[in-house]
Amino acid sequence: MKIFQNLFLVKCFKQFKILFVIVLIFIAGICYSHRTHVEFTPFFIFGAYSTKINVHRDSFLSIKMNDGQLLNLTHTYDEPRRMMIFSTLFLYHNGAKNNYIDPIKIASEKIALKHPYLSFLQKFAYCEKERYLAYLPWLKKYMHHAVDKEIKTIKIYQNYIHYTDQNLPFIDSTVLKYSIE
Amino acid sequence: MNNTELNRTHFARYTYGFALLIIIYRFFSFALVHQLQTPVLFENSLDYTYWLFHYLKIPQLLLYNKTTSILFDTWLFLSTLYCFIYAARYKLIVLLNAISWSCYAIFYNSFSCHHNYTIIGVMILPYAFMVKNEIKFNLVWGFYRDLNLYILADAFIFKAFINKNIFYTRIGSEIIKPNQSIYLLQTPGTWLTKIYSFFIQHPHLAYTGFILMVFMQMLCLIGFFTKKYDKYLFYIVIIFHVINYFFVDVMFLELLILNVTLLHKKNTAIEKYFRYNKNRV
Repeated sequence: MKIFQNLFLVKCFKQFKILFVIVLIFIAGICYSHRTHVEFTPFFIFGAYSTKINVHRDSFLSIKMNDGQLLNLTHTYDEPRRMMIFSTLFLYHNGAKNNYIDPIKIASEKIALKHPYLSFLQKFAYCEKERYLAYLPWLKKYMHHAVDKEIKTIKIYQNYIHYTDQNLPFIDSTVLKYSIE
Repeated sequence: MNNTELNRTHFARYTYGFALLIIIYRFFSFALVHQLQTPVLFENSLDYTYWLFHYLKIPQLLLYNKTTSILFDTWLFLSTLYCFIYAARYKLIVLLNAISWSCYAIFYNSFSCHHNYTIIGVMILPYAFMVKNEIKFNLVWGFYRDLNLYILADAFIFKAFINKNIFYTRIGSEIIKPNQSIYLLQTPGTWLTKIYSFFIQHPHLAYTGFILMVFMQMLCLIGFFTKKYDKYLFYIVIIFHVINYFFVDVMFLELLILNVTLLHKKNTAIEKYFRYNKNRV
Protein backbone atom coordinates (compact mmCIF):
# COMPACT_ATOMS: atom_id res chain seq x y z
CA MET A 1 0.00 0.00 0.00
CA LYS A 2 2.89 2.34 0.83
CA ILE A 3 4.41 1.66 -2.59
CA PHE A 4 1.11 2.64 -4.17
CA GLN A 5 0.99 5.89 -2.20
CA ASN A 6 4.52 6.78 -3.29
CA LEU A 7 3.63 6.56 -6.97
CA PHE A 8 4.09 9.87 -8.75
CA LEU A 9 0.57 9.91 -10.21
CA VAL A 10 -0.99 9.16 -6.81
CA LYS A 11 0.99 12.03 -5.23
CA CYS A 12 -0.15 14.34 -8.03
CA PHE A 13 -3.76 13.30 -7.58
CA LYS A 14 -3.60 14.00 -3.85
CA GLN A 15 -1.58 17.21 -3.86
CA PHE A 16 -1.84 18.89 -7.29
CA LYS A 17 -4.86 17.90 -9.39
CA ILE A 18 -4.04 20.22 -12.33
CA LEU A 19 -0.66 18.54 -12.74
CA PHE A 20 -2.36 15.15 -12.50
CA VAL A 21 -4.58 16.06 -15.47
CA ILE A 22 -1.58 17.47 -17.42
CA VAL A 23 0.42 14.28 -16.84
CA LEU A 24 -2.51 12.13 -18.00
CA ILE A 25 -2.89 14.25 -21.15
CA PHE A 26 0.83 13.97 -21.72
CA ILE A 27 0.80 10.19 -21.37
CA ALA A 28 -2.20 9.97 -23.73
CA GLY A 29 -0.46 12.24 -26.28
CA ILE A 30 2.71 10.19 -26.18
CA CYS A 31 0.77 6.95 -26.59
CA TYR A 32 -1.05 8.45 -29.60
CA SER A 33 2.27 9.58 -31.12
CA HIS A 34 3.76 6.12 -30.67
CA ARG A 35 0.70 4.40 -32.10
CA THR A 36 0.44 6.61 -35.18
CA HIS A 37 4.16 7.44 -35.55
CA VAL A 38 3.00 11.03 -36.04
CA GLU A 39 4.81 13.29 -33.65
CA PHE A 40 3.36 16.60 -32.57
CA THR A 41 4.85 19.06 -30.12
CA PRO A 42 5.17 18.56 -27.14
CA PHE A 43 4.38 14.85 -27.45
CA PHE A 44 7.78 13.88 -28.75
CA ILE A 45 8.91 10.42 -29.78
CA PHE A 46 12.57 9.53 -29.92
CA GLY A 47 12.94 6.87 -32.57
CA ALA A 48 16.02 8.23 -34.34
CA TYR A 49 18.64 5.65 -35.38
CA SER A 50 16.36 2.80 -34.39
CA THR A 51 15.86 1.34 -37.86
CA LYS A 52 18.10 -1.05 -39.79
CA ILE A 53 20.14 0.98 -42.25
CA ASN A 54 22.32 -0.30 -45.06
CA VAL A 55 23.55 2.47 -47.33
CA HIS A 56 25.46 1.69 -50.53
CA ARG A 57 24.86 4.84 -52.52
CA ASP A 58 24.10 8.33 -51.36
CA SER A 59 24.33 11.98 -52.37
CA PHE A 60 24.83 15.27 -50.61
CA LEU A 61 24.78 18.96 -51.46
CA SER A 62 27.86 21.13 -51.15
CA ILE A 63 28.29 24.88 -51.45
CA LYS A 64 31.16 26.74 -53.04
CA MET A 65 31.54 30.51 -52.71
CA ASN A 66 33.15 33.05 -55.05
CA ASP A 67 36.26 31.46 -56.56
CA GLY A 68 35.48 27.94 -55.41
CA GLN A 69 35.94 28.23 -51.64
CA LEU A 70 34.11 25.29 -50.02
CA LEU A 71 31.68 26.02 -47.20
CA ASN A 72 32.59 23.27 -44.77
CA LEU A 73 30.30 23.19 -41.75
CA THR A 74 30.66 19.49 -41.01
CA HIS A 75 31.43 18.51 -37.47
CA THR A 76 30.90 21.92 -36.03
CA TYR A 77 29.59 23.17 -32.70
CA ASP A 78 27.95 25.84 -34.87
CA GLU A 79 24.92 23.65 -35.55
CA PRO A 80 22.13 26.29 -35.62
CA ARG A 81 23.86 28.11 -38.50
CA ARG A 82 24.54 24.84 -40.32
CA MET A 83 20.85 23.93 -40.05
CA MET A 84 19.78 27.31 -41.42
CA ILE A 85 21.96 26.74 -44.50
CA PHE A 86 22.01 23.03 -45.22
CA SER A 87 18.63 21.85 -43.87
CA THR A 88 16.82 24.62 -45.73
CA LEU A 89 18.84 23.83 -48.86
CA PHE A 90 17.94 20.16 -48.58
CA LEU A 91 14.23 21.02 -48.34
CA TYR A 92 14.51 23.42 -51.28
CA HIS A 93 16.26 20.79 -53.37
CA ASN A 94 13.56 18.21 -52.62
CA GLY A 95 10.86 20.71 -53.54
CA ALA A 96 12.66 21.81 -56.72
CA LYS A 97 12.96 18.16 -57.83
CA ASN A 98 9.20 17.88 -57.26
CA ASN A 99 8.32 20.87 -59.49
CA TYR A 100 8.21 23.15 -56.42
CA ILE A 101 5.51 21.12 -54.72
CA ASP A 102 6.22 20.58 -51.04
CA PRO A 103 6.38 16.80 -50.35
CA ILE A 104 4.35 17.40 -47.16
CA LYS A 105 1.39 18.76 -49.18
CA ILE A 106 0.05 15.37 -50.23
CA ALA A 107 0.53 13.81 -46.80
CA SER A 108 -1.21 16.75 -45.09
CA GLU A 109 -4.13 16.53 -47.55
CA LYS A 110 -4.57 12.87 -46.64
CA ILE A 111 -4.65 13.79 -42.95
CA ALA A 112 -7.23 16.52 -43.60
CA LEU A 113 -9.42 14.00 -45.44
CA LYS A 114 -9.15 11.53 -42.57
CA HIS A 115 -9.63 14.18 -39.87
CA PRO A 116 -11.84 16.94 -41.37
CA TYR A 117 -11.62 19.04 -38.17
CA LEU A 118 -7.95 19.63 -39.04
CA SER A 119 -8.66 20.93 -42.54
CA PHE A 120 -8.58 24.59 -41.43
CA LEU A 121 -4.95 24.05 -40.39
CA GLN A 122 -3.86 21.91 -43.32
CA LYS A 123 -2.89 24.71 -45.71
CA PHE A 124 -0.34 25.88 -43.14
CA ALA A 125 1.48 22.56 -43.29
CA TYR A 126 3.45 23.20 -46.47
CA CYS A 127 5.23 25.88 -48.51
CA GLU A 128 3.71 27.28 -51.67
CA LYS A 129 5.72 27.61 -54.90
CA GLU A 130 6.37 31.35 -54.30
CA ARG A 131 8.32 30.54 -51.17
CA TYR A 132 10.53 28.09 -53.09
CA LEU A 133 11.17 30.68 -55.77
CA ALA A 134 12.26 33.21 -53.15
CA TYR A 135 14.61 30.76 -51.44
CA LEU A 136 17.90 31.12 -53.36
CA PRO A 137 18.03 34.95 -53.02
CA TRP A 138 17.30 34.48 -49.29
CA LEU A 139 20.12 31.94 -48.97
CA LYS A 140 22.57 34.43 -50.46
CA LYS A 141 21.31 37.15 -48.11
CA TYR A 142 21.64 34.89 -45.06
CA MET A 143 25.09 33.67 -46.05
CA HIS A 144 26.16 37.23 -46.71
CA HIS A 145 25.17 38.01 -43.13
CA ALA A 146 26.18 34.79 -41.39
CA VAL A 147 29.16 33.49 -43.38
CA ASP A 148 31.02 36.19 -45.28
CA LYS A 149 30.12 39.70 -46.35
CA GLU A 150 32.30 39.36 -49.43
CA ILE A 151 30.19 36.60 -51.00
CA LYS A 152 29.38 37.46 -54.61
CA THR A 153 28.55 34.11 -56.15
CA ILE A 154 27.30 30.85 -54.68
CA LYS A 155 27.39 27.54 -56.52
CA ILE A 156 25.57 24.52 -55.18
CA TYR A 157 26.65 21.06 -56.25
CA GLN A 158 25.15 17.65 -55.79
CA ASN A 159 27.77 15.02 -55.07
CA TYR A 160 26.87 11.41 -55.86
CA ILE A 161 28.80 8.91 -53.79
CA HIS A 162 29.13 5.20 -53.27
CA TYR A 163 30.73 3.25 -50.44
CA THR A 164 33.78 1.18 -51.32
CA ASP A 165 34.51 -2.40 -50.22
CA GLN A 166 36.15 -0.88 -47.13
CA ASN A 167 32.85 0.91 -46.47
CA LEU A 168 34.41 4.34 -47.09
CA PRO A 169 32.69 7.05 -49.17
CA PHE A 170 33.92 7.77 -52.71
CA ILE A 171 32.63 10.56 -54.97
CA ASP A 172 31.40 9.24 -58.35
CA SER A 173 30.33 12.53 -59.85
CA THR A 174 29.60 16.13 -58.98
CA VAL A 175 26.87 18.09 -60.74
CA LEU A 176 26.25 21.83 -60.56
CA LYS A 177 22.62 22.25 -59.47
CA TYR A 178 22.08 25.90 -58.63
CA SER A 179 24.05 29.06 -59.16
CA ILE A 180 23.36 32.36 -57.42
CA GLU A 181 25.02 35.49 -58.82
CA MET B 1 19.20 13.46 0.17
CA ASN B 2 17.34 13.92 -3.06
CA ASN B 3 16.83 16.66 -5.55
CA THR B 4 13.56 17.84 -4.03
CA GLU B 5 15.54 19.24 -1.10
CA LEU B 6 16.99 21.87 -3.37
CA ASN B 7 14.64 24.75 -3.58
CA ARG B 8 12.97 26.46 -6.46
CA THR B 9 15.32 29.46 -6.36
CA HIS B 10 18.37 27.37 -7.07
CA PHE B 11 16.72 25.49 -9.90
CA ALA B 12 15.53 28.79 -11.39
CA ARG B 13 19.04 30.22 -11.33
CA TYR B 14 20.47 27.12 -12.98
CA THR B 15 17.71 26.92 -15.61
CA TYR B 16 17.72 30.59 -16.61
CA GLY B 17 21.53 30.73 -16.41
CA PHE B 18 21.65 27.89 -18.93
CA ALA B 19 18.97 29.62 -21.04
CA LEU B 20 21.14 32.76 -21.13
CA LEU B 21 24.04 30.67 -22.41
CA ILE B 22 21.73 29.29 -25.12
CA ILE B 23 20.81 32.81 -26.26
CA ILE B 24 24.47 33.87 -26.37
CA TYR B 25 25.42 30.68 -28.22
CA ARG B 26 22.63 31.18 -30.74
CA PHE B 27 23.57 34.83 -31.20
CA PHE B 28 27.09 33.81 -32.25
CA SER B 29 25.60 31.08 -34.44
CA PHE B 30 23.41 33.61 -36.29
CA ALA B 31 20.21 31.86 -35.25
CA LEU B 32 18.19 34.46 -33.36
CA VAL B 33 15.03 35.70 -35.07
CA HIS B 34 16.47 39.08 -36.17
CA GLN B 35 19.54 37.34 -37.61
CA LEU B 36 17.63 35.02 -39.93
CA GLN B 37 17.10 37.67 -42.64
CA THR B 38 13.35 37.00 -43.00
CA PRO B 39 13.48 33.32 -43.98
CA VAL B 40 11.06 32.10 -46.64
CA LEU B 41 11.03 28.31 -46.56
CA PHE B 42 9.63 26.40 -43.62
CA GLU B 43 9.00 22.79 -42.76
CA ASN B 44 6.03 22.05 -40.54
CA SER B 45 6.01 18.35 -41.25
CA LEU B 46 2.94 16.61 -39.79
CA ASP B 47 3.24 18.42 -36.47
CA TYR B 48 -0.17 20.00 -35.72
CA THR B 49 1.37 22.41 -33.22
CA TYR B 50 3.52 23.88 -36.00
CA TRP B 51 0.47 24.11 -38.26
CA LEU B 52 -1.35 26.02 -35.52
CA PHE B 53 1.68 28.27 -34.99
CA HIS B 54 1.53 29.33 -38.64
CA TYR B 55 -2.28 29.52 -38.60
CA LEU B 56 -2.04 32.04 -35.75
CA LYS B 57 0.36 34.03 -37.93
CA ILE B 58 3.02 34.21 -35.22
CA PRO B 59 5.89 34.03 -37.76
CA GLN B 60 4.43 37.01 -39.63
CA LEU B 61 4.22 38.90 -36.35
CA LEU B 62 7.85 38.18 -35.48
CA LEU B 63 9.05 38.89 -39.01
CA TYR B 64 6.76 41.86 -39.65
CA ASN B 65 9.82 44.07 -39.90
CA LYS B 66 13.37 44.22 -38.57
CA THR B 67 12.24 46.15 -35.48
CA THR B 68 9.74 43.51 -34.31
CA SER B 69 12.30 40.74 -34.63
CA ILE B 70 14.92 42.77 -32.74
CA LEU B 71 12.34 43.60 -30.07
CA PHE B 72 11.46 39.93 -29.69
CA ASP B 73 15.09 38.84 -29.30
CA THR B 74 15.75 41.68 -26.86
CA TRP B 75 12.68 40.70 -24.83
CA LEU B 76 13.76 37.06 -24.81
CA PHE B 77 17.20 37.99 -23.51
CA LEU B 78 16.05 40.57 -20.95
CA SER B 79 13.17 38.48 -19.57
CA THR B 80 15.48 35.47 -19.20
CA LEU B 81 18.05 37.67 -17.46
CA TYR B 82 15.30 39.04 -15.20
CA CYS B 83 14.12 35.54 -14.29
CA PHE B 84 17.74 34.58 -13.60
CA ILE B 85 18.39 37.55 -11.31
CA TYR B 86 15.07 37.38 -9.46
CA ALA B 87 14.89 33.55 -9.55
CA ALA B 88 11.61 33.47 -11.50
CA ARG B 89 9.78 35.38 -8.78
CA TYR B 90 7.14 37.11 -10.94
CA LYS B 91 4.64 34.75 -12.50
CA LEU B 92 3.60 36.99 -15.38
CA ILE B 93 7.20 37.50 -16.54
CA VAL B 94 7.84 33.75 -16.15
CA LEU B 95 4.77 32.93 -18.26
CA LEU B 96 5.58 35.46 -21.00
CA ASN B 97 9.18 34.33 -21.05
CA ALA B 98 8.16 30.65 -21.28
CA ILE B 99 5.75 31.41 -24.15
CA SER B 100 8.51 33.39 -25.89
CA TRP B 101 10.92 30.47 -25.62
CA SER B 102 8.27 28.12 -27.04
CA CYS B 103 7.63 30.54 -29.91
CA TYR B 104 11.34 30.89 -30.59
CA ALA B 105 11.88 27.11 -30.59
CA ILE B 106 8.98 26.42 -32.95
CA PHE B 107 9.96 29.38 -35.13
CA TYR B 108 13.59 28.25 -35.41
CA ASN B 109 12.74 24.60 -35.99
CA SER B 110 10.14 25.52 -38.58
CA PHE B 111 12.35 27.91 -40.57
CA SER B 112 15.53 25.85 -40.24
CA CYS B 113 13.45 23.11 -41.89
CA HIS B 114 14.47 20.57 -39.29
CA HIS B 115 12.58 19.76 -36.11
CA ASN B 116 15.60 19.64 -33.88
CA TYR B 117 15.21 18.11 -30.41
CA THR B 118 18.10 20.09 -28.97
CA ILE B 119 15.93 23.17 -28.37
CA ILE B 120 12.99 21.39 -26.73
CA GLY B 121 14.52 21.59 -23.24
CA VAL B 122 14.43 25.37 -23.06
CA MET B 123 11.12 25.30 -24.91
CA ILE B 124 9.31 23.46 -22.09
CA LEU B 125 11.33 23.79 -18.87
CA PRO B 126 10.56 27.47 -18.02
CA TYR B 127 6.86 26.58 -17.50
CA ALA B 128 7.89 24.71 -14.34
CA PHE B 129 8.48 28.04 -12.60
CA MET B 130 4.83 29.02 -12.96
CA VAL B 131 4.34 27.11 -9.72
CA LYS B 132 5.47 28.87 -6.55
CA ASN B 133 4.29 26.53 -3.80
CA GLU B 134 7.30 24.42 -2.84
CA ILE B 135 5.42 21.10 -2.54
CA LYS B 136 3.64 21.57 -5.85
CA PHE B 137 6.85 22.79 -7.46
CA ASN B 138 8.65 19.62 -6.39
CA LEU B 139 5.93 17.57 -8.07
CA VAL B 140 6.22 19.60 -11.29
CA TRP B 141 9.99 19.25 -11.11
CA GLY B 142 9.56 15.49 -10.73
CA PHE B 143 7.49 15.48 -13.90
CA TYR B 144 10.25 17.30 -15.79
CA ARG B 145 12.80 14.88 -14.35
CA ASP B 146 10.78 11.97 -15.74
CA LEU B 147 10.51 13.78 -19.06
CA ASN B 148 14.30 14.13 -19.20
CA LEU B 149 14.72 10.42 -18.52
CA TYR B 150 11.95 9.58 -21.00
CA ILE B 151 13.99 11.10 -23.85
CA LEU B 152 16.71 8.47 -23.59
CA ALA B 153 14.47 5.69 -22.26
CA ASP B 154 12.11 6.07 -25.23
CA ALA B 155 15.07 5.89 -27.62
CA PHE B 156 15.99 2.59 -25.94
CA ILE B 157 12.42 1.26 -26.25
CA PHE B 158 12.40 2.09 -29.97
CA LYS B 159 15.68 0.27 -30.55
CA ALA B 160 14.85 -2.74 -28.39
CA PHE B 161 11.13 -3.31 -28.87
CA ILE B 162 9.59 -1.21 -31.64
CA ASN B 163 12.09 -1.15 -34.52
CA LYS B 164 14.34 -3.82 -32.96
CA ASN B 165 17.69 -2.92 -34.47
CA ILE B 166 19.85 -3.80 -31.44
CA PHE B 167 20.68 -7.21 -32.90
CA TYR B 168 21.66 -5.80 -36.28
CA THR B 169 25.46 -5.99 -35.99
CA ARG B 170 26.23 -3.53 -38.79
CA ILE B 171 24.16 -0.74 -37.24
CA GLY B 172 27.08 1.02 -35.52
CA SER B 173 29.10 1.58 -38.69
CA GLU B 174 25.94 2.17 -40.74
CA ILE B 175 25.00 5.06 -38.46
CA ILE B 176 28.50 6.62 -38.50
CA LYS B 177 28.87 6.16 -42.29
CA PRO B 178 26.17 8.52 -43.68
CA ASN B 179 26.59 11.00 -40.82
CA GLN B 180 30.32 11.38 -41.32
CA SER B 181 30.68 10.78 -45.07
CA ILE B 182 30.70 14.52 -45.90
CA TYR B 183 33.29 15.16 -43.18
CA LEU B 184 35.45 12.28 -44.45
CA LEU B 185 35.34 13.63 -48.00
CA GLN B 186 35.71 17.32 -47.19
CA THR B 187 38.26 17.05 -44.40
CA PRO B 188 40.64 14.19 -45.26
CA GLY B 189 43.72 13.42 -43.18
CA THR B 190 42.59 14.67 -39.76
CA TRP B 191 42.78 12.52 -36.61
CA LEU B 192 38.99 12.47 -36.45
CA THR B 193 38.83 11.19 -40.05
CA LYS B 194 41.16 8.35 -39.06
CA ILE B 195 38.99 7.46 -36.06
CA TYR B 196 35.77 7.47 -38.10
CA SER B 197 37.37 5.43 -40.91
CA PHE B 198 38.62 2.90 -38.35
CA PHE B 199 35.17 2.40 -36.82
CA ILE B 200 33.45 2.30 -40.21
CA GLN B 201 35.91 -0.38 -41.34
CA HIS B 202 35.47 -2.38 -38.11
CA PRO B 203 31.68 -2.81 -37.84
CA HIS B 204 31.91 -5.05 -34.77
CA LEU B 205 33.75 -2.41 -32.77
CA ALA B 206 31.24 0.21 -33.91
CA TYR B 207 28.45 -2.19 -32.92
CA THR B 208 30.00 -2.58 -29.46
CA GLY B 209 29.94 1.21 -29.15
CA PHE B 210 26.31 1.26 -30.29
CA ILE B 211 25.36 -1.34 -27.67
CA LEU B 212 27.11 0.72 -24.97
CA MET B 213 25.08 3.76 -26.05
CA VAL B 214 21.86 1.72 -25.98
CA PHE B 215 22.87 0.44 -22.53
CA MET B 216 23.23 4.03 -21.31
CA GLN B 217 19.76 4.77 -22.68
CA MET B 218 18.38 1.68 -20.92
CA LEU B 219 19.86 2.80 -17.59
CA CYS B 220 17.59 5.84 -17.70
CA LEU B 221 14.65 3.47 -17.16
CA ILE B 222 15.94 2.90 -13.61
CA GLY B 223 15.28 6.55 -12.86
CA PHE B 224 11.52 5.99 -13.16
CA PHE B 225 11.61 3.71 -10.11
CA THR B 226 14.15 5.39 -7.83
CA LYS B 227 15.99 8.68 -7.41
CA LYS B 228 18.91 6.95 -5.73
CA TYR B 229 21.01 6.82 -8.88
CA ASP B 230 20.31 10.33 -10.15
CA LYS B 231 23.89 11.43 -9.53
CA TYR B 232 25.09 8.75 -11.98
CA LEU B 233 22.31 9.35 -14.50
CA PHE B 234 23.27 13.05 -14.50
CA TYR B 235 26.71 12.17 -15.91
CA ILE B 236 25.43 9.34 -18.12
CA VAL B 237 23.17 11.78 -20.01
CA ILE B 238 26.11 14.19 -20.52
CA ILE B 239 28.46 11.41 -21.67
CA PHE B 240 25.77 10.11 -24.05
CA HIS B 241 25.34 13.49 -25.77
CA VAL B 242 29.10 14.14 -25.99
CA ILE B 243 29.71 10.73 -27.65
CA ASN B 244 26.75 11.40 -29.94
CA TYR B 245 28.32 14.70 -30.95
CA PHE B 246 31.65 13.11 -31.88
CA PHE B 247 30.37 10.03 -33.68
CA VAL B 248 27.06 11.11 -35.17
CA ASP B 249 27.76 14.84 -35.54
CA VAL B 250 24.57 15.76 -33.73
CA MET B 251 24.92 18.67 -31.33
CA PHE B 252 22.46 18.03 -28.47
CA LEU B 253 24.25 19.95 -25.73
CA GLU B 254 21.47 22.57 -25.42
CA LEU B 255 19.14 19.74 -24.40
CA LEU B 256 21.26 19.32 -21.27
CA ILE B 257 19.27 22.15 -19.71
CA LEU B 258 16.83 19.39 -18.71
CA ASN B 259 19.64 17.66 -16.86
CA VAL B 260 19.27 20.12 -13.99
CA THR B 261 16.29 18.00 -12.96
CA LEU B 262 18.73 15.22 -12.04
CA LEU B 263 20.89 17.39 -9.82
CA HIS B 264 21.92 15.87 -6.54
CA LYS B 265 23.11 17.75 -3.49
CA LYS B 266 26.76 16.90 -3.89
CA ASN B 267 27.31 16.35 -7.54
CA THR B 268 27.81 19.73 -9.12
CA ALA B 269 30.01 22.69 -8.53
CA ILE B 270 27.11 25.07 -9.17
CA GLU B 271 25.12 23.51 -6.33
CA LYS B 272 28.09 23.80 -4.01
CA TYR B 273 28.24 27.45 -4.97
CA PHE B 274 24.55 27.98 -4.19
CA ARG B 275 24.80 26.10 -0.89
CA TYR B 276 27.84 28.18 0.06
CA ASN B 277 25.97 31.40 -0.64
CA LYS B 278 22.90 30.18 1.22
CA ASN B 279 25.03 29.34 4.26
CA ARG B 280 26.60 32.80 4.17
CA VAL B 281 23.15 34.39 4.21
